Amino acid sequence: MNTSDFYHILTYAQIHEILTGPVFVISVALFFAGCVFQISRFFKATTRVAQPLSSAQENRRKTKALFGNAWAFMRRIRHTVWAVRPGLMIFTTVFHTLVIITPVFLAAHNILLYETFGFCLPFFNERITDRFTWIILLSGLIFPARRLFFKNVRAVTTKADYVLLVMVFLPYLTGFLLYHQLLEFNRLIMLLHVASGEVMLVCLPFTKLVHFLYFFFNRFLMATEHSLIKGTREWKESDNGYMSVKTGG
Amino acid sequence: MDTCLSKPVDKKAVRDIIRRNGLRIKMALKVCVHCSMCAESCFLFTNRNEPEFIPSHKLINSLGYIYKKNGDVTMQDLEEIKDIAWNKCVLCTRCYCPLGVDIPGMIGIVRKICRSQGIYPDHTERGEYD
Repeated sequence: MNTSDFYHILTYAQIHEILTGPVFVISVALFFAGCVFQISRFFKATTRVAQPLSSAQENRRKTKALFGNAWAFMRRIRHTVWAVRPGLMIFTTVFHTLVIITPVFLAAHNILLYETFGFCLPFFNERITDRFTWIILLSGLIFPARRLFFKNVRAVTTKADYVLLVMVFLPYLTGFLLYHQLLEFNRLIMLLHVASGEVMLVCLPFTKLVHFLYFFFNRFLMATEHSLIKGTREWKESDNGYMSVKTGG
Repeated sequence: MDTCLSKPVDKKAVRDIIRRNGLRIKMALKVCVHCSMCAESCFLFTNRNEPEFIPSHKLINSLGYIYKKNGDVTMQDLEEIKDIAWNKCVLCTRCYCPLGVDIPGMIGIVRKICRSQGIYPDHTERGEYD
């Protein structure tokens, strides 16, 4: 194979075709396989609570406090990090919500979905998703800044955390550049957008990004003091001479 | 103390404890995103405002270290980890992780590993933080 053949193979159109074809299918399959693997691992590591850890009245109170009314909810969260750092918590909650709903309910993605499969999800107006992306990109400055400039966050930060941040923000940054056609080399940006999106998709269940699953398991299914509703599961292995934090204990 | 430090670590015993709690440890270390939001829930941190009292810092530098090394640690390492497991954490279980990591449960495992090697605090001596 000479250089011209090599160049011929790597035309933008062909790379785009590969990335949006087999590579996309593989990345989606790996994402779902990874999620199934993590879910099965959670259920393998835990078991159903043999005896109720708290009274039925306590469980009702907990569930009602979360979903009952706004006042009860406020009382419930006053012992959580929401009361300690409300600004950061509002910001991070908005960020996590937007990071999921923006690509899923984006008009451009749903048009592609419709063209491929003949159906699509409801989607936001492009002006709205553009604002969402602005907020996400702002987070792309705030989260690394927290890690760099706050002594206590810097103390627990590793290089991998910065790599993950880049991995998460790259698809949004390239998508933003594409939507606004800000740069000349749009075809290259498009390839970067698709590739970075696929890398993120594959990494979701296999890296620390797996907290998108375990947050719900740990806070909703585990029967611990900090579970948001009545938990039904506990860790199988407790041979550490220390009883796990359990409700009503 | 010198006698204790000169003893080799029974790596099999350490690995056995890690293996028995393997999934739980793996998931805890994987879920911790180093956000440091657990910091203010630790009364030792709020009193001293030093990063080494952040619950996630204690987890990463004790069990995280032992797990990363797969139990291949020295007595010197365990002596340093002992300081985290007993002096910097009192297992009051008040630490609050937004992602639900059971940090005191993990520190409990660290204590078990230390005890399996004959390392535990000498309560007749006053420590650095007493």
